Amino acid sequence: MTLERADRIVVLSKTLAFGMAYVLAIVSFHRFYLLPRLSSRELSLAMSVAFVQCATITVLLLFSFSRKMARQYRESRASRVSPAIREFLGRHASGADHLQDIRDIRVAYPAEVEQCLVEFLRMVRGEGRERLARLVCDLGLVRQWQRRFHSRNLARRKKAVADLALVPREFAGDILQQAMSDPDESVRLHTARHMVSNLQPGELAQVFALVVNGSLVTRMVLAEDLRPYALELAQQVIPAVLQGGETHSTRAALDVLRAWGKFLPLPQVYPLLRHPDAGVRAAALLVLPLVPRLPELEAEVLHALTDPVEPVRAMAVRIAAKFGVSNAVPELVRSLRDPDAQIAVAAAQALAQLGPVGCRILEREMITGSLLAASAALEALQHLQTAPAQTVAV
Amino acid sequence: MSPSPELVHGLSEAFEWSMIFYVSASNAIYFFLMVLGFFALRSHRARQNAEARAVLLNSPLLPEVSIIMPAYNEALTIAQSVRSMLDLQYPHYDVIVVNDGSKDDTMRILIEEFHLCKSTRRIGTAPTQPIRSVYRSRDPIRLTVVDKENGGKADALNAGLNVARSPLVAAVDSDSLLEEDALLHVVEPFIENPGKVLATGGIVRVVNGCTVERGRVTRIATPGRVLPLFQTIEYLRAFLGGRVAFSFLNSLLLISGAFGVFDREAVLEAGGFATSTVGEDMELVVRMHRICRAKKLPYLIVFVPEPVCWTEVPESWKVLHRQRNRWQRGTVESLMAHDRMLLHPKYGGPGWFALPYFVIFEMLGPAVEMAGYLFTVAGIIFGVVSTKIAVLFFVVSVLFGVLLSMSAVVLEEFTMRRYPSVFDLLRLLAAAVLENFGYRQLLTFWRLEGVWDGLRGKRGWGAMERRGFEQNAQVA
Repeated sequence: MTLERADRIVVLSKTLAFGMAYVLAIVSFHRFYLLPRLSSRELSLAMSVAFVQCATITVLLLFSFSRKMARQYRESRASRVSPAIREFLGRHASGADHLQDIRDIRVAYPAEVEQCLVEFLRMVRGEGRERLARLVCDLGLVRQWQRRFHSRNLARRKKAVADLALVPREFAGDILQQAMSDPDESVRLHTARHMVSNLQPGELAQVFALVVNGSLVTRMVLAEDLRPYALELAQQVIPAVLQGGETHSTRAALDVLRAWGKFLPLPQVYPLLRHPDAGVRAAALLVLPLVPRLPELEAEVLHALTDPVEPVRAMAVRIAAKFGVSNAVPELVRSLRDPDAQIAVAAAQALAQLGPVGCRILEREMITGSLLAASAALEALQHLQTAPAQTVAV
Repeated sequence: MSPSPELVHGLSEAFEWSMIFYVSASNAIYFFLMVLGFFALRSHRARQNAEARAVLLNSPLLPEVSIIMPAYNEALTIAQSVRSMLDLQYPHYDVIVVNDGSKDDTMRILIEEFHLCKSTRRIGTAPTQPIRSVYRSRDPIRLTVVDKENGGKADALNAGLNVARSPLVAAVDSDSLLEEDALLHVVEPFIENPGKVLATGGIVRVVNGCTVERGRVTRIATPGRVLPLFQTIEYLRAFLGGRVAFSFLNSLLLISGAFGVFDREAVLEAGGFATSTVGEDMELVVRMHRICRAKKLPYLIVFVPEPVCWTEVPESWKVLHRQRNRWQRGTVESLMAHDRMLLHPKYGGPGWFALPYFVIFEMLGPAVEMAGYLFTVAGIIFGVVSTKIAVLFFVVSVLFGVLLSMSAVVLEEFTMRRYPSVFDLLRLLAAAVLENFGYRQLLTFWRLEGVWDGLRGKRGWGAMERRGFEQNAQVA
């Protein structure tokens, strides 16, 4: 459980406020109620603590029980009136005018009408959706959601964004744009996800900017949402980020490419193999099989095999095997003898992938190599024997 | 010359007052930790996004995890536990079972159930007891079994670390069941704070009384027997109250051995799990704090309130006695091994708050509480303690205990709400009251015994009698 700084301050403040109120209640009860009735000051204080604690827990328990009961009541009420509401909404969406009927029901069951409308907006497409969106406006729900967005409560803000994303942008106003600048990243992520489900021109680049500037979680979630737009993004937005020179964004963009696992026309990845940041070099190696093969590929992979950073070398070993870089054999043998187990194992697997040439080297290494090289070679050969169809995971 | 009665009376009352002050302070601190935990939990839950989590499960960017399950004489539950581990909702993970020289049929069952054959998998170099063989399954499942000489749980975990290749390793007891999405929950802090989180732990809950079907808890209920019910209260109090707050303060000293995820490199750099203690889980976490604070490295050790690991708790007094003795010894050994951190400015929150709290209230607590009980009874018999003070001691030690336990139940109801029925809630509340009359005092005595054994350097684990999940829980 990791909270951001602002949330931590709020949590600490609430705890302190609770503590002060609690102490005040104990002192008051002791001073003004128990002490005049009990002979012992200490006993009075102890009993005051116990009483206040008992009272607090009783109140919390009662509150908890009543909340549980209220939830059950709401659920049963919703299940009773929802069919009628859905009936009206269905007819309204298909062209009939039931505005007044829905208004009338809403007087008695506002929450149920809102809930059903949101459900319908999620399901209905085309003209029916437009009619329902207008209905939402006519009922004043958009204004209500816009007000809800300004709540300090995170869950309410997220709900408001989710609801507003269901109606056309001209109705929702600029709330979604405001939400993309919300101080809380989880709200921004939530907004971006809803934007993606109903994209407007220009918003794709805005969402991708959140992907490359946000946290890893944001990147991972939005990468999946943006998968259908991969080709569109690969035309201008991603090349601009890859050529932008900003390390964090470049790495994030490479992560997204890896997550998509799609072949994309992005030759801009090649220069990144010589990027000063090792993380970017390793990430660029990982996406190399997903971009067009250029003549300089072998030279770049051979160069990466001599990289001073071990994880980059280990990645290069795997890529050399993936592309069957035959010139890489001497480097792979050197990597097999590397004292770093990760590199040795990767090199053994890469050699096994190269076929008879690599297998002969591995057999020789099993007899003459160091303990680490021999065990890595043995394991790679056994893996090859038992799982011939599997390729080395890159 | 014998002391005057006034002097004896005065000294007795002073002693009794200090006991009262100690118990009140202990309860007050714990209560405020629970309040802090409550607000932290609510803030954490407002941030949760279940839809995004479902998307995360498809991401190739999720880090790989190796689940290490040490097993010693677990023939009764091992097949079901492994099957449940192989069926988690997480895209990239493998399971490593370490058979720590079991004397029963654990190894035979594993070989037969999972069609194991010998493997040439390379093994790391961390020192462990000799490894007899490494096996892998012929089936398309990511299972590795390490068969080794007996060396204790920490040694088995180290053997698992040697075989694991993923950047994250999860240490899971083989008598525990994980919820399907538990692994994703517990890995989330690692992706939220890349490179900063060293370890995360999840909530451990009591499986006794629940319905278990094919290695999954399908219906949650409170245990039918008194002993596991009391332990349910203890688990709620410890996990929802204490650990959430300690995690908030980045001073978490214990990630339960039943379910914790660690950065493999960080564990290896710290020297792996210590085999010299029975509290290897706590010792490792304290050691990680020590190393990072000493090197001034930014780090986080995080408690995650959602993931649920279900564990079978003892149903017999004998086994419970052994378990509590071992836990207390583990605490004493871990605290003594890192006593230099105590009140040392270099060690920040753990040094200034968590360790002193553990030493004063967890390590010395049983001795003080037991002394208080004995002294109060003796004082009343010999007439050196007034009834008023005796009542006061009773109020602070028992009534406050009741209130703390009830607070834990309220906290559960307000935040996690895993027990759906009102009947379960009422049973928990009843247990929160009753456990303070006899059960808690007995545990205090056993913990005191554990402190003594820990100080004497007693070793040994003690056997846990397994009944199997479906015997212990309700058969589906």
